[in-house]
Amino acid sequence: MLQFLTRMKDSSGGFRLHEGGEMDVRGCYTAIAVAHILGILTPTITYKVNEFVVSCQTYEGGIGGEPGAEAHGGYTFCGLAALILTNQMEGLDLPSLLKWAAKRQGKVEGGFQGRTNKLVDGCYSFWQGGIFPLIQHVIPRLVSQLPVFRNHLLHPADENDVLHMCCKVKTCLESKKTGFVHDNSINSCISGEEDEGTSEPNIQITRTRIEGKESPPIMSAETLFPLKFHGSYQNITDAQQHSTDCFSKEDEQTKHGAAQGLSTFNQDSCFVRPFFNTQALQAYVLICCQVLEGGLIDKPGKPRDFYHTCYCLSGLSTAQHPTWLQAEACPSESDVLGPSCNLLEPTHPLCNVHFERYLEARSFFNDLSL
Amino acid sequence: MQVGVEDDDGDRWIPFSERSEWSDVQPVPQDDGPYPVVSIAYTSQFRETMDYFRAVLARDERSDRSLELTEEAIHMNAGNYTVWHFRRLVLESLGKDLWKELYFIQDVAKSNHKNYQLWHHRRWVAEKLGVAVAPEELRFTELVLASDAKNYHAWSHRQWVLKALGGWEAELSFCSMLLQEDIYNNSAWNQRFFVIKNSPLLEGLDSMRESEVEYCINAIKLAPLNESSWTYLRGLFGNDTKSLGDSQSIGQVCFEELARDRCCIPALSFLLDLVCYGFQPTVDDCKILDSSIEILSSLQLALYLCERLEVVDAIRACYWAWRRSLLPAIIK
Repeated sequence: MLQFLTRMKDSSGGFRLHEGGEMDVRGCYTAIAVAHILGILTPTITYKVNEFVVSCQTYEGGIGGEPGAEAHGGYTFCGLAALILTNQMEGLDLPSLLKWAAKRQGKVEGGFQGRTNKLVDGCYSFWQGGIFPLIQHVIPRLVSQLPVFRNHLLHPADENDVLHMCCKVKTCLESKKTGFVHDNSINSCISGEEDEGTSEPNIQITRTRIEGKESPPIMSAETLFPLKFHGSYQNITDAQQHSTDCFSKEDEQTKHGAAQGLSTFNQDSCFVRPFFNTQALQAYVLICCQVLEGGLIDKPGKPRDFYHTCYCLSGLSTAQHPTWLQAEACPSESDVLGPSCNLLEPTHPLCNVHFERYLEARSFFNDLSL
Repeated sequence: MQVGVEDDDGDRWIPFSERSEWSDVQPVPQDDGPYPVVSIAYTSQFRETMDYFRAVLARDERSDRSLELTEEAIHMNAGNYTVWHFRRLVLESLGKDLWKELYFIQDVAKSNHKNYQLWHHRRWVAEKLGVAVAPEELRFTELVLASDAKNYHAWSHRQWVLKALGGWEAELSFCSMLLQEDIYNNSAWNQRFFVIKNSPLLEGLDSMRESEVEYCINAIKLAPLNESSWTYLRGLFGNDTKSLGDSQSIGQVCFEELARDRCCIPALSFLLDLVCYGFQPTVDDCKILDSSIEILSSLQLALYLCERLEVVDAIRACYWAWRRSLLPAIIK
């Protein structure tokens, strides 16, 4: 197997799918995932994978099949997974990748599209949905890539008003440590209230009417599965400490550069919230992607096939187990839509096999090599 | 298609065992091992064709009859990469006219326009034919794109042709034409970026940035909710976030769109990014977002935008909430 994979290796860092075959990001991923499970991820195999995959990241933030090709869900998953498996994350713009992936979830359908302005498809439940647990796994590196935010006072258009403005700002800053404007006349989306328990303000998100334009309620995933915020934002430094404890040793080098703000935390259980609407995705798969006779599909009206059955289910599992922090550890929290009998077994975020089977295989091949 | 049934041309399919020109060949059955699982129920026609293919493959017979056999096998299963690979070996050994091979590929493409093996084969043929085939390849991909303007393989092939064989002259206008037909065609926007960045006939991204920004802004005005044009606009600046943050005109594009539609999600999102890159609008600009509140700092503006997006782009509320949670912490 190692010889075969080595023959498929290209000097660019990519892999051909077969002898004399095409070379794209799928090849990288499949070769590397197999090598990883078999415990034969040698330097020859991993050589320059980073260069190849990074060269496939587009201006949109997602990854294409080949350098220059359009950002695409399937290739994005493959590229990101390949880099995580080989621990070669340098040069990949993670913030723009996350933003691109988050924008691929359809507000009406709840499922994911493969590319911008295309229709959603059940199989992207895994290819796109599966990106988010991977991102969670490398969040310190992502945060280290965020631009430094410089806070500025905004000027009025009218220079004569400057004095008036300065007085106002001074008053505001004195009334609130965080610099939020807290004024009774404000009809703002931000309402800051002191929490009795902590010294930091407990910021609750309230849904207020947007002045002027209010969209009429329509039957859409967005309105049917609103995200509920239960917890408070914990003190940021505590959040950082917890997160850095969670992350694997490979991220050691990125911890130093990591800024404080990380995922949002619930004060009680430190549940890390996923980046996408997991309920809406589950709904799309369960309600729109099942066929009465059994099997799953792209979208209503399409015929069933094994590919869509596999990836709709993989995506459903991912939506139910969306967070993955520690390498080799099973995704922890589950978030099932509907009765608990809907809950699937967790799938391994990188290899998309049943987590238990993955551990067995790794252990088996590890023992073989000893 | 079963034995005895007519194909599209009205010809009855003749089993290989009845073809005199194949009488010397012993067919090789598929080896599924001693304990086959999920055995495929092949038709007898399929099974026999592949049995004969395995035979010529085993003896590495590079002949005209082998070539015809690969054609039959491909029509039965265009996904069999072993057959395509062997076909390439035969074509090479026999020194066949590869211009004719293009016709074969086009014929197979009619019902297999999203088949990886087909497109890889086309690339192989085109590479052999060299620069002279570039116009034909651009014509072929244009034909495919005419019935599916987002065919991923067609676009990949087109990009490969341009880089390997040239033909850049009309590519930017090709993109413009497609965008005129459908301004939401993200593949065409991607191609535009590809051309700007790679065409040896153009001056490169930095030189063309100004004109492309103008093109983009017009596209935004035409379809303010079209994600493609906003993303392209961001893409034009790459890592040069300073220029983006410093640009008053680009910031104004956001406010203009928000004045027309306060829930314009791409504009809100873009404005958020601009603020994170250092863009400083005026207090009055911010009144466009909400006339009842006073936004006095860029942090406050960024927080407000995240809050707004959590509501109007609710499917992504988690993402926007996470963006918001970062802001006070990454502030300098």
